[in-house]
Amino acid sequence: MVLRADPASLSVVRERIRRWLAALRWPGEEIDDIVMATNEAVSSAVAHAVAGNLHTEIRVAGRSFAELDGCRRVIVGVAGDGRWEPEPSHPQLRQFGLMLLHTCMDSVETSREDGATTVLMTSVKVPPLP
Amino acid sequence: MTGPLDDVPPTEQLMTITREDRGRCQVLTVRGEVDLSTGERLRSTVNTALQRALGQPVILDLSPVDFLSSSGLGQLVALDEEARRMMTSLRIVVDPDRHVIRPITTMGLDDVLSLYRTVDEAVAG
Repeated sequence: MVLRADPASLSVVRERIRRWLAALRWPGEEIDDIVMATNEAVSSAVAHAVAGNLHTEIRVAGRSFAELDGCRRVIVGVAGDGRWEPEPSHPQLRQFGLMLLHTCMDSVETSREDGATTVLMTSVKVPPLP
Repeated sequence: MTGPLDDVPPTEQLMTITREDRGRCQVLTVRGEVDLSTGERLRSTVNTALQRALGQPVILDLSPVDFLSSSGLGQLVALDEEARRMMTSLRIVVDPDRHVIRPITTMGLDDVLSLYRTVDEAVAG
């Protein structure tokens, strides 16, 4: 999904991710974790864009996959212009920000190319559907 | 997850704050979601309460909050500092059994903020 780099977009992203995971019958606590992590990454992209350009777009995409044992994970990607970090930028919270993301997700990878930043977050495993 | 973005709800609907007096305490109850779009309004509303508190406690009841992001936590930390500067106590009520409190403990803020389980406990101090 493509959204305007506006703080008001955040609630829409959370709602979309929540609905998507509910449709995949994801467990509730893990849904909260994925929503939390996605919100943090999108917030960082928005905060960065607001400082620069209000008309910037942010892209969010999600995909679920099954491993060989049948357990499932999702990958959520967040891409936005500029150079930003996935974790919160509040000075006092900064040092805990990555910790927060890592308690919510199994892995968080950041890459930068052509003046844009992409964050890829892989969720923890959840059991296969019965 | 494809398709255009549907209507963005106004942030007034996303978070509401009500205020009532309990004895000498002001109780502010926050409902909904505290994030980058609503955090500023939380900050200014609580700030106003702190200013009129004249040293009496201000209780911020977050138990009906459905979502709290790190930007919301940043506002709480800033408000806590503001309260200390004004020699007022800011008592924050959170339900420890709800998922919403987890960012507070993950970030180690349970040692920084004055947390209470219920409004009654916060009023008692």
